[in-house]
Amino acid sequence: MTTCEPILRIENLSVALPEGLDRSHAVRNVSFDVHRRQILCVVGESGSGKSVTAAAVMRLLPEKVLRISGGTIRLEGEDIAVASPERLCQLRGSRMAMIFQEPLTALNPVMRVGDQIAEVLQIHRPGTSAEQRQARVRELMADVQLPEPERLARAYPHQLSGGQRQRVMIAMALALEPALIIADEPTTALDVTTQAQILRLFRELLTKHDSGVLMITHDFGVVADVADHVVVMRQGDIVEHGAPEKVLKAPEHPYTRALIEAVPRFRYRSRPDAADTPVIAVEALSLTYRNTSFFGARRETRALDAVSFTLAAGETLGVVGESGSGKTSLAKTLLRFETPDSGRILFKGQDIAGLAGAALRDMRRHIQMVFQDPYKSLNPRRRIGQSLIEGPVQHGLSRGDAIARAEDLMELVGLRRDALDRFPHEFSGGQRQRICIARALAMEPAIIVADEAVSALDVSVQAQVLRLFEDLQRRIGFAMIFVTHDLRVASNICDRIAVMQRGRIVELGPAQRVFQEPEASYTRELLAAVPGLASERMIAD
Amino acid sequence: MLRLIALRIAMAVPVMLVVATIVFLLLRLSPGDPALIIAGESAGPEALARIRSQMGLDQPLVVQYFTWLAAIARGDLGFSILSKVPVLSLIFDRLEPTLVLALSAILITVVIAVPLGAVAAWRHNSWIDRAVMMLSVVGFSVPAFVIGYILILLLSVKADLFPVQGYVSPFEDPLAALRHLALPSLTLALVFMALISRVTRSSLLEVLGEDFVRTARAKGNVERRVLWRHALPNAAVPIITVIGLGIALLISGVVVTESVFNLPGVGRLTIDAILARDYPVVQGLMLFFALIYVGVNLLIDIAYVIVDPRIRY
Amino acid sequence: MSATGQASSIARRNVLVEALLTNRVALLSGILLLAIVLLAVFAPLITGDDAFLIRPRQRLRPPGEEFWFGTDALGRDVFALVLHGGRISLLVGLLAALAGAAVGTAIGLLTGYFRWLDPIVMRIMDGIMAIPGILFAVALVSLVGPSVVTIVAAITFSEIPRVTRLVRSVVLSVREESYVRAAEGLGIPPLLVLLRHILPSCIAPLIVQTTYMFAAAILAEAVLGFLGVGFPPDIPSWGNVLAEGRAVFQRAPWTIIAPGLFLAVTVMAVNLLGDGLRDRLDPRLSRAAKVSS
Repeated sequence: MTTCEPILRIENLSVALPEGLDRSHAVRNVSFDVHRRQILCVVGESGSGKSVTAAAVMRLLPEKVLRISGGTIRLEGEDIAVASPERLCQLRGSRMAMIFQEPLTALNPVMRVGDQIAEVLQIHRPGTSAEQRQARVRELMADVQLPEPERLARAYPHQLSGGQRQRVMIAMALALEPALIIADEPTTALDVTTQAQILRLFRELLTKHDSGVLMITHDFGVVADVADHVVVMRQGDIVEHGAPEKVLKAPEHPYTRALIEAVPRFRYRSRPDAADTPVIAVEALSLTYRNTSFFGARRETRALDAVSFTLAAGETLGVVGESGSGKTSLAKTLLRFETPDSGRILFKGQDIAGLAGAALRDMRRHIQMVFQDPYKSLNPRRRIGQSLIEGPVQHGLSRGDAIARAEDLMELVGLRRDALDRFPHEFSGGQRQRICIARALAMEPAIIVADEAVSALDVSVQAQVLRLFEDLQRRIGFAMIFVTHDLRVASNICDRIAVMQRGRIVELGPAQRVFQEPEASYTRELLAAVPGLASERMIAD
Repeated sequence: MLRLIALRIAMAVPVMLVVATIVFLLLRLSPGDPALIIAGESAGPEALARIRSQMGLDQPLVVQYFTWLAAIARGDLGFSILSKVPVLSLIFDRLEPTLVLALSAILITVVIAVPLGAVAAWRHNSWIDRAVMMLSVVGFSVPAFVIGYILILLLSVKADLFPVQGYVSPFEDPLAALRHLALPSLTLALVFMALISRVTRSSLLEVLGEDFVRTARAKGNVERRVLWRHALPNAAVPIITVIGLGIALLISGVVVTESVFNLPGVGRLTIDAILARDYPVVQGLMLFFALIYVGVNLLIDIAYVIVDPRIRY
Repeated sequence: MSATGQASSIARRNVLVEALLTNRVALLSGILLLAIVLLAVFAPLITGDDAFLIRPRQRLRPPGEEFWFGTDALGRDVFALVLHGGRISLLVGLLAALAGAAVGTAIGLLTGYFRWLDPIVMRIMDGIMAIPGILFAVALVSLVGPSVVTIVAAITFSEIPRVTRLVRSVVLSVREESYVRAAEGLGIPPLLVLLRHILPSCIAPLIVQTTYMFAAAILAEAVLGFLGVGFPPDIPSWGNVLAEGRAVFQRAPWTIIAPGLFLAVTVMAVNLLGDGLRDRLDPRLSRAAKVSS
């Protein structure tokens, strides 16, 4: 640890929650230091208070609701927990800057990105001329490796890619070389390959500039890749801190240990060769989204381009790829929420690609789905029981039998039988995802299509739900199409993997073979970008 | 840009067609015989038959409809039954007072209501906010003619500050015109102000909760600059949308206000024509008002593209 | 099913009651509105047939002990006229609001869910919106003749597009929710999906919108009366009482101010009630209060 004065020293910081919630503090007695040229990562699950800590340092908390109730936040020696609004405006942007999670919403949509970067200079260096500011903007944009700064400076945020937008945010933060940069989940909204580039950029810029970084993340892979120091938080408290090697390899606190254990690693399941008759066979499936405005002006996007594969009974096929690769379009088309332009979907020999009306509704019971966001997948106004029996009753089961089945299923997914008359909001995210799985199983489907079904969950919950999927599959024997962006998750649960890029399957094969001896260059690229490979080796040692 | 304008105009055609159809059906399907109105109660059957065939009223409804549509498409709105003057020139003769009234009301509204709404949103839940909201509710709730009469009573009859009624053209005597216009345009603007200040406030409140406002604060912007430079431009689309939709409110308001203040505009013309059952004039005026509404909203659609770079057609 | 359905509708009603109780302004407005409704309903008991009694010797009496709100040009008691007028005005407002909500909701649900209907129906709605509502109503009533049915129909007609647009926009956003997708994926027929999973999300904004429409319809009836096409003078409504006052308002301003004030207070109470309901029922506006961690 360096001996010089830290850039940021937080001592006994507490942030009070409004009364009437399940706990009194969002953050309690938190202390840590951030030093020059150092990246300090605060990790934790949702509700750990990590983001509140970051916002508290910038004094960007909605202070009517979340009030700093104690402690000091010293930025270069000055306590900003008690700074005046005027002083805060001077400090923000010049001595401390912040980078947010979702760069699309964090940038002003109706202002050119160059102007947004220049604005920082305009506020804090009012003496500079427009030309000087322009020049500095170009320089910053080049620094964060944005191509063609001249042209991009005149673009609006929606015209840039996600990675480019985050680079603009970083340029904005660096504009006045602040002492402290706070980054709240800066790569969570990005694809893995982009994430890898942005993280690399963070490291490079630190050695070039003289700042310290406070990074908030939920991802131990990111921690392993960039952190100099780690702070682990749970429910507003710091449970452990130290050097990443130590925390990741030899965690002391049981919570940290559980958290790290829950992080999926590349692990392959061994199964005997699956049955030879495919339950579903997809042949040359193509889907084009047409954006027809009133007159002509037709924009076409090829979402699926001659996709073919088969799925055997009881098998799990992973579909992986980055956003825009067509993996979600594939899921929607298999579920027949989209009608393909061409190709066939043979379900037990019957082509379902063109079904409509009653025939389609009748087929649907055989292919069920589990969605990404457990908070939106259940009708908030209906009781769990109503949601679970709706499908079976529609397809002819008596109410009594449907309720009995629903109770059995609740138990099967690890919930109480008598919880059927509760509403969705009474359950946690992980529990809701279990209910969604139960709803799918209530139809006794041959196939379950899971679209990013564990992506919105905290790692510990994620591990439980993945185990549940595996367990249920062994006991009931449905086939599964598992769409995910997370290669590690895919390796845990899939027998075979299809790698998608721009609407095509670029590689298809057994999971272990695809991930350990990838054939397509794109697969190799994806694998190289997976964060925290180093840590995996570290922990495995 | 030209393509966009062409596109918008093309989309306005079916809307105007719907309007024309409704107006046609309204007047033809209602009880009452236009021929009887023209000829008068005492006319004999031959006279009635002659008028019917002159006006094409003896034709099947569908034929009448298309004949009429074809005439409108040529810009021919027919003649007034009462004054025998072409409808179009009747409208243009009465247009000036209405335009002057409406424009001054819009001006008052934008100058006062947008800043009021912005301040209310900025000081959310403060007394200013409550006062603005209360004024807006009052503006919505008190009918324009009641406000008009109260204004006349207090400021014209009792205080003798403004003339009671009547119209003076600003092109003839600007000062007298201003005195004559003050009360009517205030009366007309009140509802509109209530609407716009409300929308400004609510769309600003929404925008102030967005992520980029937090970014703007994180850059060190002072609150005033966050509001004017970042929040307001992003709230502009809903505000100008409502200004466009509010044109309908304004047109209804014009009719009432002109009646209260006895202004010789197209609003008065409409009521007189309806009460006299002057069908061609009523039809022509309804089409005319609809065209104004559609036209203003067309301009606003085009303004979107300037205000929000994300909108492309 | 019916038991649980009942339970949840009770729960929803409680939300409404709770909304009123937590918002003082809305509560006061509700009480005020109730008082006005009671005054109107029991007008015959309170004022007897004063509203219809013509007293040629007591024309245009200013407000005083005998006639609280004065008398009109025919010598009728303005207070009695105002109370009696409330019966018709409130009835017209209520009917128009309910009719507008019902028709608009049906059209909006279908249009939002069945996308092929959308371009046709929305062009028609645009067309209706382009016709100034008051002018249409004046024309219709003057052509067909005034009656409760024609006046309600004339006012409802131009309110339909607003409800349709509102419901359609809710449908468009809700139909993308995963739980609606899930219901479709279970093989539930479209009409059931609409009624079971989409309509409930429309209820809260609809209640708010219906309240506002009630206020707008009361105003519209008054304007119709004012422009001379409302109910005939022997059926007093706020609209035609105001219209009668027009000719004499310089000499007898109470003939306009008294009914105008009653009308304004009623409409204001309804609007404030709507605001209170919206603040409580519309989650988009309460988002700012949400705590994020």
